Amino acid sequence: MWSFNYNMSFGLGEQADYIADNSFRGWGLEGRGFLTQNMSVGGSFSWEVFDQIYRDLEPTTLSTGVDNVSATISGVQYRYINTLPILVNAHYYLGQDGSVRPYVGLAIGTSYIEQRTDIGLTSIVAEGWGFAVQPEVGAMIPFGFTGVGANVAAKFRYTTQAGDTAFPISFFTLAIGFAFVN
Amino acid sequence: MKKQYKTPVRFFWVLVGLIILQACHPYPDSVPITDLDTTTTIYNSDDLATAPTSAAIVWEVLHIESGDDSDLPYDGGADDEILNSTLDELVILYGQDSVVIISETATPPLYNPATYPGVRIIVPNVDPVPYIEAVYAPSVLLREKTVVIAYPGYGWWGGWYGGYWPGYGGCYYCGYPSYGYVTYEVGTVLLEMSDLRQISPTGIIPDDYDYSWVAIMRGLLGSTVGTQERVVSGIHKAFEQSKIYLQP
Repeated sequence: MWSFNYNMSFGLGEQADYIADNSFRGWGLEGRGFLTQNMSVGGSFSWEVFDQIYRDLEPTTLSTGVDNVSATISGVQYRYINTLPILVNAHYYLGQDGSVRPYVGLAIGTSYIEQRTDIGLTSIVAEGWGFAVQPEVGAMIPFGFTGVGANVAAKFRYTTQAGDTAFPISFFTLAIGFAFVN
Repeated sequence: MKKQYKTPVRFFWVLVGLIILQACHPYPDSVPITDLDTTTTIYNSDDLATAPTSAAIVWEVLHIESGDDSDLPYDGGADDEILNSTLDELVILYGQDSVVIISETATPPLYNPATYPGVRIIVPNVDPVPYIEAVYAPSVLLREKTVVIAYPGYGWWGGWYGGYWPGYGGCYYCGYPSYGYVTYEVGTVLLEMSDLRQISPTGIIPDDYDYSWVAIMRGLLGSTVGTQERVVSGIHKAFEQSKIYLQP
């Protein structure tokens, strides 16, 4: 089964301190193979973008690389977080083929994180790969016996602090999309 | 593929395309020029472990040009704001009695003496030189891709320092600060502070003598949008974010 979803994500914790706005710019692609009538394993890829403009912030300290020399910059900040996870997953389903099938699942894998702050023409970029875990609940809603249906899911993803990023990434995602059974 | 599925499948692929595109779409659509204004301050924590207690301002905005067609056209329209805003900030930091204006003439252009009656005006080679611990010199960068250059000569004020500043050495390296990570852009307003305390009473200048504080206000002169207000705001921010080590 393949599904393509539109992702709306809601940041938590330190991530929400950095970018308070929610993300309405995300999508995900997922494939699942059924081992039994009620269980599947598969993989997924997605991309979520968080962004927000901050004005009137306190100045930010910059690294100069020179002993005893410090730098501070102030200006409007354009902040971005891009997350691109590659996960393997397993799901357990209730119900039967042709009916609404609620499911629970767990995905683990790695996620590429890019955290960028643009101040004027200066970009402060931190990036790296972190370990990601993503529990989720959802439902497959078939359109009759066409093999096509809707997929809705609520997910929570936690990614460990990646590379030189400043904090771990954690957010809820509401995913809505289409699913195809082949 | 069965004909009955063609329309929903096409719809699906259009939807997929739209969703992916909206994730890729740049944010925001356009950036106001004022959002690109930045104020960066750089300081040497050793030099400014103790803040200066008095200051001078060179009453001339140096226009750093290459002299060819690549220079940013600039008629000096923001010099008034650059000089007077800097003076305002110096008076706030050090008080009128501890601030002097170094001017080529006894009546500096763009300055109203009634503004700060306590601020003295010093004319090089004419007036006796008071004890001053820091000198602030403003400039604007009008040439493209300048990295490190020397000022075009010492100018009247540099020569004055060289010959007549009692107790201090005469040489001022008036180049750009050597902090290599800074990229200067055309239209940038620079404000550099030399800490005269680093020069020995016998006039010996340390080998690593450099500016102790630099403020870089990016791109203020690169657009006609609210230039004067942006200059005033940029200079204020520079001092505001440096107050902890510039204020006595």
